[in-house]
Amino acid sequence: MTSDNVLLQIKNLKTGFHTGDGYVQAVRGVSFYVDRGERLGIVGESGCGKSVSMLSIMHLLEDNADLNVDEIMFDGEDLAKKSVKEMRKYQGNEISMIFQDPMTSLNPLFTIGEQICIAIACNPKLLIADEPTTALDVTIQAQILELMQKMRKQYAMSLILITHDLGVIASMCTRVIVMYGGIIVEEGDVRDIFYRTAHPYTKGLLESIPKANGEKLVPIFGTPPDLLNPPAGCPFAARCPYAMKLCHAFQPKLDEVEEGHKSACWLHHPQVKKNIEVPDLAKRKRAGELKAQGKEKEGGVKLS
Amino acid sequence: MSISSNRETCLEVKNLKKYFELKSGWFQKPNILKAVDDVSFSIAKGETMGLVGESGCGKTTIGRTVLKLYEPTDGQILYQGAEITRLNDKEMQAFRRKMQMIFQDPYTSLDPRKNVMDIIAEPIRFMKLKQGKDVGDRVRELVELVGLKPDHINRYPHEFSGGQRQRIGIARALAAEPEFIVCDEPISALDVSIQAQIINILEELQERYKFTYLFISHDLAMVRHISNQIGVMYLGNLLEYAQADELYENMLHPYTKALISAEPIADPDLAAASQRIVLEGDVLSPINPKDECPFCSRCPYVKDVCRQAKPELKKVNEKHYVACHLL
Repeated sequence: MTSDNVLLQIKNLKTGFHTGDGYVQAVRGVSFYVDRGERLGIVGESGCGKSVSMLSIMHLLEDNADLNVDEIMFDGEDLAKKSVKEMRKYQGNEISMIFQDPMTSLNPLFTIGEQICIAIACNPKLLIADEPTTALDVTIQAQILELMQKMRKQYAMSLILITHDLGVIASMCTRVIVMYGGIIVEEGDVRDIFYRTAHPYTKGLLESIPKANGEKLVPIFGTPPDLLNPPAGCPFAARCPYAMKLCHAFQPKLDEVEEGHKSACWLHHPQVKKNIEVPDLAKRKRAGELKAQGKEKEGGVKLS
Repeated sequence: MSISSNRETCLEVKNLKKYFELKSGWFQKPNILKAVDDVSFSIAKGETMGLVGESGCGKTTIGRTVLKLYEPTDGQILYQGAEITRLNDKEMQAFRRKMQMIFQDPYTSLDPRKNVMDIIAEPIRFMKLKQGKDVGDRVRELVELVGLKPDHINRYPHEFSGGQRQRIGIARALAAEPEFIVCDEPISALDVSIQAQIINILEELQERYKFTYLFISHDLAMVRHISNQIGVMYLGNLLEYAQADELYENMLHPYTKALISAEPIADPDLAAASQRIVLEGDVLSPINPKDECPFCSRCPYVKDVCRQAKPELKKVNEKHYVACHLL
C-alpha cells in the first residue's frame, strides 16, 4: 500500500465508557487503514467494538466516553487533533454515516434509501454504513445493497460496512476486519478470511452458519468477554477450542500470516506451530481452486 | 393436506383465516385486515415445519392462532385429530400443556422480578405437574437440560446474556411437558455464534423427546437447516409449501425465488457468481385485499390473469404445492 492510496489510517485507537457499573473498555487498541475506493467490511458480534470505533473516528461519542488515539489520518489531515467544531466540516461532507434504522417508518426502503441519498449528497470520500440493513427484510436488503453498490461506483467513494452478517460481507466487501472483545483478531482480503481462515474465532463464526447439506451446526460455546473487566490474555481464549495456558495470560499481537493477511493468535507463533482445522468452506476451496493457485498446503492450512 | 411420509399427524390446519377488524367511521363498512387468509398445512409428529416470509406476512399470526392465543376467524385447527378451533379457555386447558411457545425476545418475555427457579417453576405449579420438593428437582433437571449451570437458578433475568435468557425461555416451555412447540423467531435477537447453540439445543431436544415444531423465522438458511417442510408466506397467504429439500431444489413460485436469491451468501465466490433477483414495486395492503394474486404488484412475470383472481394452492407432486396462475 502506498501512502498516497490510503484515505484513512487509524493508529492505536482506545475508547472507553464510564458507566454506572464501572469503566467499559469498548475498543482496546485498534489500528487499520482504508484505501481510496476500497470496500472494507468490519464484522463482529454485539459489543465487539465495531460501532464504537466508527463513532470515535467521527468524534460522535457521548460525554461519558474516553478517547485515546495516536492518530486518525484522513486525506492528509489528523482528525484526532480537530476540535468538535472543526469536525463538523468533515461530518457529512468528507465522511458520511448511515446508521441502522430499526423501522421508524412504514416503508423501510424509503427511510434507508433516503438516508443513503442524504449521505452521498455532498459527494463524500468515505461512506460509513453501520448495520444499514440489519432490521430489514431480505428482499428490501437486496435493494439497499444494490443501491449502495451503484452509488459507491458512481461517486468513487470508499466504503466501511459494519455488520454481523457474513453473507453481506461476502457480497459487498473486498477486505475484511474481524473484531472480538474490543480488538482486531483477523484482517485480510475477503478471500483470505473466507477461504484461508486463520483465527479460531473467524472459523467459529463461519461454522455457526447453516450449510445447505444440513450438517449439524458447530456453535462457539460460552459467551463474549465482559469488557468491564477484560481478560489479560486473548479475549477469545475462554471460548477457544485451541486455547493453551499462554493464551489466557498474554494477548497475542496482530501479525501477518501471509501477505496482507493478519491474525492475532498464539497458534501462529513459530514455537507453537499448531494448525487449526479449517472450516468446511475453506476445505472445499482448498481442494479445487487453491490447488490451481499453488497455495495448497498439507494437513490443513498451515499458519506458522 | 399432508406432504410428509410420516402418517401420524400432530397438527393439521385447514383453510385457516384470521381477520382483524379495523375501526372506521360510523355507518361505514369496517376495514378488514386479512392477516391469515385461507392457509392449510399439516405437521407430522416429531417433525419441523418452517414458516418463512417477511414482516407482516402473517407467520407470527399463524403461530399464535394455532395455539388459540388468537381466536380464528374461520377454518379448522386439529391437534392430534381433535378439533380445537372453537374450544373455550377452559376446554383448551388440557391442550395448553401440550402446546407451548418459545418467543423471539428473551429480554421481554421473562418476568424481571422473578428468579430462574420461580420463572421455570410457575407452569409446573400452575398445572400441578409436581408437588413440594419435586418442583425444585424438576427445575434443576430442566436447567441442566438446556445447558445452564445449577447455581443459575437463584439469579434474575438481567444477569444473563441473550443466549442464556433464551435457554431459560426454552426450559420454561419444557416445564409444561409439551409435545408441540411454536418457536417464533427464537434466534433473531441473538448473535451468530449463539444462534447455533440454541438451534442445536432445539434439535437435541427434538431427537430426545420427539417434539413437533412450528419454526417461524425470516432466516431462510436456518429454516432450511432445521425444517422437514417449509411454507412460504406472503401477505397472509401460503404461496408455496413443500418438503425442505424439494423446495430448494425445485422452487417454483417467483416470490420464493426472489426471497431465496436475496439471501446473502457467506461465500465470496458464490456470491459474485449468483444472480440476485431484485424486486420492484410496493407490497400490497393486507386491508380489504382484492381478489388477485397477493404478489402481483411485485412479480416480474405478472400477467392479466394474476389480477383477475387469487390463485389457489395447487399440487405439483406428493411433496410440493404452489399457488401461481403461471405454473
